[in-house]
Amino acid sequence: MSNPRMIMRGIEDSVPDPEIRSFLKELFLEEISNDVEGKAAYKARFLSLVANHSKGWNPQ
Amino acid sequence: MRIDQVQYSNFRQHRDVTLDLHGDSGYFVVIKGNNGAGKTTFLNGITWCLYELIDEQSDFERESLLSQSAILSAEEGQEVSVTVAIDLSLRHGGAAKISRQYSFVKSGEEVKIVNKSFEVMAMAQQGVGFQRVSEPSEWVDENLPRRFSPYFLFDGERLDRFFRSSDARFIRDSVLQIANIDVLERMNVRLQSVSGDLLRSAAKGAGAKGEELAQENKTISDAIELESSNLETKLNEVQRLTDSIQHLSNKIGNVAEIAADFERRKDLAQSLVTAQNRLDVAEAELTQWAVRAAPGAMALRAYQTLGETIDKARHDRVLPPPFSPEAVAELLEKGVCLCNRDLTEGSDACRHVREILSKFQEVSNAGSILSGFEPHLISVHSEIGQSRQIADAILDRIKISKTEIGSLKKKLDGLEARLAGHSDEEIAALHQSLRNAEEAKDIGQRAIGHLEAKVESLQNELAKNAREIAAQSDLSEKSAKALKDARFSEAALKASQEVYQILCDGVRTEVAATLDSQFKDMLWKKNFIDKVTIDAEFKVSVIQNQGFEILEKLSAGERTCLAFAFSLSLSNVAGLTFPMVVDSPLGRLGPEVQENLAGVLAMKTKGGSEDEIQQVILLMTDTEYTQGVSEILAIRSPRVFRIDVDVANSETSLTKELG
Repeated sequence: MSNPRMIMRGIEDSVPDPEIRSFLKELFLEEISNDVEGKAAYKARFLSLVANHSKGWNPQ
Repeated sequence: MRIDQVQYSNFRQHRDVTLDLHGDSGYFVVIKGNNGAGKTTFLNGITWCLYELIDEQSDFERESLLSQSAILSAEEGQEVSVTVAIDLSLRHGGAAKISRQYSFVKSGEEVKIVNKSFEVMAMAQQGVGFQRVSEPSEWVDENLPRRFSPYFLFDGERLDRFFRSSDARFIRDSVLQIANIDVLERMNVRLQSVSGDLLRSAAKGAGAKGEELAQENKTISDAIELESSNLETKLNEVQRLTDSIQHLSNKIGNVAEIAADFERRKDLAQSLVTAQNRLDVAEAELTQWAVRAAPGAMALRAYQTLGETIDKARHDRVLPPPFSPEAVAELLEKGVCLCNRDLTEGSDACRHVREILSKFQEVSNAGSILSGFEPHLISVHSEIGQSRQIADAILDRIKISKTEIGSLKKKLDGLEARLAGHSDEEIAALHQSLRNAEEAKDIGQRAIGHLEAKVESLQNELAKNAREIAAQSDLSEKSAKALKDARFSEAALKASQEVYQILCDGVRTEVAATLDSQFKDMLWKKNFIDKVTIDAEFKVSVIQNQGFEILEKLSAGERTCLAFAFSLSLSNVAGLTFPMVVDSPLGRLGPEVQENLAGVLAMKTKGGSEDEIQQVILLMTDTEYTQGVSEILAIRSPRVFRIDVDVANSETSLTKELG
């Protein structure tokens, strides 16, 4: 059965684009942790993650 | 994980009952009792304590939980509480105490709820002490997921929900939740939303045309959301209709079987009449033969008896040796007897001897006539014997027929009971309901086709809109950045959806493989199943050797096995050892299947290490916990309790049975 580690492995194995891979892994960890309280704060964190990874991203 | 103890206080008829399951034998428990003794209340108490559910419903009448005798003994204005407390053992020596309570105040003949409380005290590992959990419902859902409860805490006579089309999605969502894959689904929804927001934000930086495109984007996105929701509703509706069609088809099938049995019964009744007629004819013939042959038979018997008596008398020298009339006539001719007495004509002795000879001739004539009858009498006797044999054979056949017909009549009584209430009109109504459901399903499926086409068309429009936004040449720097972020989100969404699909398929394949293996292990007639599969919507199919789907044709015992296999597979795949509490696990089964399934349950839940043992609590009637079943379950050394109800005050008592 899948657990967080196996989902990370799934992302690692199935996503060829390194920037998107790294973003999805970070996003997943963000989702399963309860660090960010509130919808607005979560959205801001989400957008910040997108911005960070999009910066160095070259569409393949 | 296992339940160590359940305490019921004023919970319906369980006014003060403690189910103590500490110790090794607490892994396999039988609570036996008659119908109405309160077995189901045990199960209800557990689901209420954990999830505030009764029979999987949250809208039950709160006041109905409170013991009637507690209400009667309370005084006006007095507070009375209903409580169920469950003690659990967790992995790594951890433990938890879960307690739910409703408090009521008596007012007149009624009670009013005044307070509700729910508390979890947990100890992560042995020796660290219990701590109050701040979010008890979340704690329970994390450790004993509510979504899984219908597959571990259930009524064995309502197993059909395991295989309903409309429940397949529920199972799918449950499994994905347990597998943490639902996190990816949530991520995807957020990515979709953020991607749209970013695209619109980019468009707004491209002047009036950009504003227009952003507005269009929002309109199309909202329409997609609406139509997707309509599509979801329609899909659920069609799944419910599929269940209805299946249910109605089964019902019609059952009625058709009964009608066919009824026809068979008519044929058999006719056979009975024919057999009875044959018996009557044979008996009449036998009587006729007896009347005709009786005098001859009696004379023959008398003749034989007379001969036997004479022979015996001669043998015993009671009678003189055989008399020879020729020798006597010779003496008369000589005129002298062997003893020198005068036998000359006219003498007294001569007259006397001639008289004896005359009498002997009369007797001899009668004997000759009697001897002439002997062959005839013997022939009659033989014929009587043969006809008796034929009659005996007929009587045997009739006896067998009567036995068969007796059992047929018994079966017929059952059939007639099942047929009660099934009039032609009702069968016609069933057919009509089936046609209606099939038509509604057709309409639903067409609607799904339209909605899918509509969503696809809207998605194409959205993609075109996104291309138009991207093609705007006068984007500000901020907009260009937002556009790149949107494209990045879009690409991440696509990748994440692929990962989601791969993981879903992986989990589904794992559950199907475990289910296939568990089910085949459980079946005692193993050679007819090819495989058990689970489709993308998590609908279970059982494929037999010739490749046909036979889920609906499985016997009650096989379906029960499949349900248990499903529960154990979920438990296995999710890495959970969810305690299993089953009411009437063998209720619908015949004695042989009961014993087979009891063996399966005992062995398949045995586990390896302590953490792997599946706790099983079976709530059984005496017709389920038979001598045969108890002997089979004995391999797990179960802890057996007897539940009794005191009718006078509607209170139950629980007694642990020794040995």
